[in-house]
Amino acid sequence: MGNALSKISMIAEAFFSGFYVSITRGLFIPMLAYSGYPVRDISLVLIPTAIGGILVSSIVYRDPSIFESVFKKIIISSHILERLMWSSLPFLLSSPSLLSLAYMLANISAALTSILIGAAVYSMFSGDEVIEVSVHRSAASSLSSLLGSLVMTYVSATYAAPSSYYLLYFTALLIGISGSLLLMMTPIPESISEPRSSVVEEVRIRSGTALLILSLMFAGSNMLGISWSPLLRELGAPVYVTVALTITGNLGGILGSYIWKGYKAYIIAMSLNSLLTAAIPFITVPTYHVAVSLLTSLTFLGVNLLGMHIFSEVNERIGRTRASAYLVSSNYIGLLAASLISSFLQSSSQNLILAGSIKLLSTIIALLTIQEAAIVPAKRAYEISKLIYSTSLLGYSFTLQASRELLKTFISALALTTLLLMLYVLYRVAIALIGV
Amino acid sequence: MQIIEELLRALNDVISAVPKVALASLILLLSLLIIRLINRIIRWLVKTGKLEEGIRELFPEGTRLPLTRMFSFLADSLILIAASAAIIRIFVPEQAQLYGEAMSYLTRIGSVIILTLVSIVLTDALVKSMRFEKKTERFFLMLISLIIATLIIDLANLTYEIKFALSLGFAIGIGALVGVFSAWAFFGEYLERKMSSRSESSVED
Repeated sequence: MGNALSKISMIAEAFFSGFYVSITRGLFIPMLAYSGYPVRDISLVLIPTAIGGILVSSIVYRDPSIFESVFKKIIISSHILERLMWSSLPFLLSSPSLLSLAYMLANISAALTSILIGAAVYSMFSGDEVIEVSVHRSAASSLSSLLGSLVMTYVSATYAAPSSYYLLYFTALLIGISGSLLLMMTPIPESISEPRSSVVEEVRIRSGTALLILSLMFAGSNMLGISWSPLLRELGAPVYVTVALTITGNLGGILGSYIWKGYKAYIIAMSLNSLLTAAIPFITVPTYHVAVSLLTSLTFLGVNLLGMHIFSEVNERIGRTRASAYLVSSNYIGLLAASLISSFLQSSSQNLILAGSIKLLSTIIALLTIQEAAIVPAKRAYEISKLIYSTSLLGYSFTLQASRELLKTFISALALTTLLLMLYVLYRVAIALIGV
Repeated sequence: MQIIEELLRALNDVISAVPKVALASLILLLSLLIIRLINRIIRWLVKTGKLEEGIRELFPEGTRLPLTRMFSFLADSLILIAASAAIIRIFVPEQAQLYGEAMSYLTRIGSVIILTLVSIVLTDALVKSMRFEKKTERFFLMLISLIIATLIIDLANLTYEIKFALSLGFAIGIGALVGVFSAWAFFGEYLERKMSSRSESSVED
């Protein structure tokens, strides 16, 4: 009975959060654009967001024990802080520096909250229950996102600019805080204890490969998100098509949660999703895009479930917080990659084809490495995943080393330049006083 | 009576100079403060930029003068020169002949400081990169001090003839030193062999 109650309250929390997230995130960029912020600055906003998320995830991954003893307290404070920070944004529009500070804090607390909520789900339920709760949570969240976007469209159309922002963000705050209240009453463990033993290589390889697959998929999906509206504008689609895209996308999310079961199904969903993404620039009739949006988000749920499934299996071994940190960081790594790639590419159809290719690459890696669904024998799949894991680890440590060296040289050059400039200024002062 | 008048006039001069003196001491005090501040900034910059390590990569033995000291020396002398120029401006009217002389003397001091530093750093780098022994290092120290002495002669208030003679003497001395040293450095082994074979043959005789 207690367990059923926990399930219901976690699903309800996702419902409240979905509504609040769809309004606060969905309105942020349009709000900046209509308040006169230049487009270049807006696209740059995404990069610190992604870096902040990755940083938080890596800190939590390195030392998950910092939250162990006060797990519930931290979850609830971070949950409330996130909502307060996001709702403060429209009130800070007049001061860009304060706005960016609040935005950064909002994102950091959002990343922390998602990690901890994931860890809470992992620690409250076991095995199949995790998948069940996650499926219901994602469906509930899609449903309330749908409601949120309807409310957002209605309010934006009815009220004038600044007051509509205030109204929407305030409503989002109220609904979001209801989720926090619900979380307070949910029997989340006050403290958790993570396994102290070092992680087995097999588990590390499995989670590392999963991180790679998910990051690539999320990169593709974020690129899709960035380029789809510009493409529609190029095609001359009326505004309601863009709105309809969001609505069918949310519907796809609800349906997708219940369609895909098991690793084979997830991978089928992934391959369908890659093909659909690459096909988007070739569909010239704008109204067809509405249907494609339903299909892409329906198939993309397979990716979410794949991640959820893999990490629900390994969370006993690597710890719940770490498993959750992996899952959340893949999202932010994907966002970072997408915003970097998109800032180099000009045409949106190029961007979409590339997004499809990246997703296809991820699907191929999944086909070769996820043992349950691999097209090669299980033992072979393990070897391949080991190879991919060690290669990516090598690349990671090389990049880290190289950037550290670069930073050192940069600081030295900066110090030397400052010294020489100082001497030059003193020289000019002396010359001026001597009057030569 | 005249003495009293003279005394009064002198007193008047002193009193009228008081604001100037106060201003000059203020400038001196300020420049000392700035020197301390700048030195601290230089030390911090060299430390944070890890510039010493960079220098060590170029000259494995490091330099005789630490970078902090070198930069501080340059900056301090620039500040002091600027302060002196400001003080001279206060006391000497710009049209006076003394003003021009004083300023040109100041610029000469600056040039000597820079040349001294350059000669020290260059010779030191050469010595360090050739990895000479202690004794040869001392030789180079002598060379450096001679060069510095030659430069300082330019600042002394001597007649042109004396200055010329002195610097010529130093220059010849430095040239001879360098010549002898190079002869020893490049042909030393050969000469030693020659000498020892000669002494052996004379013993055999």
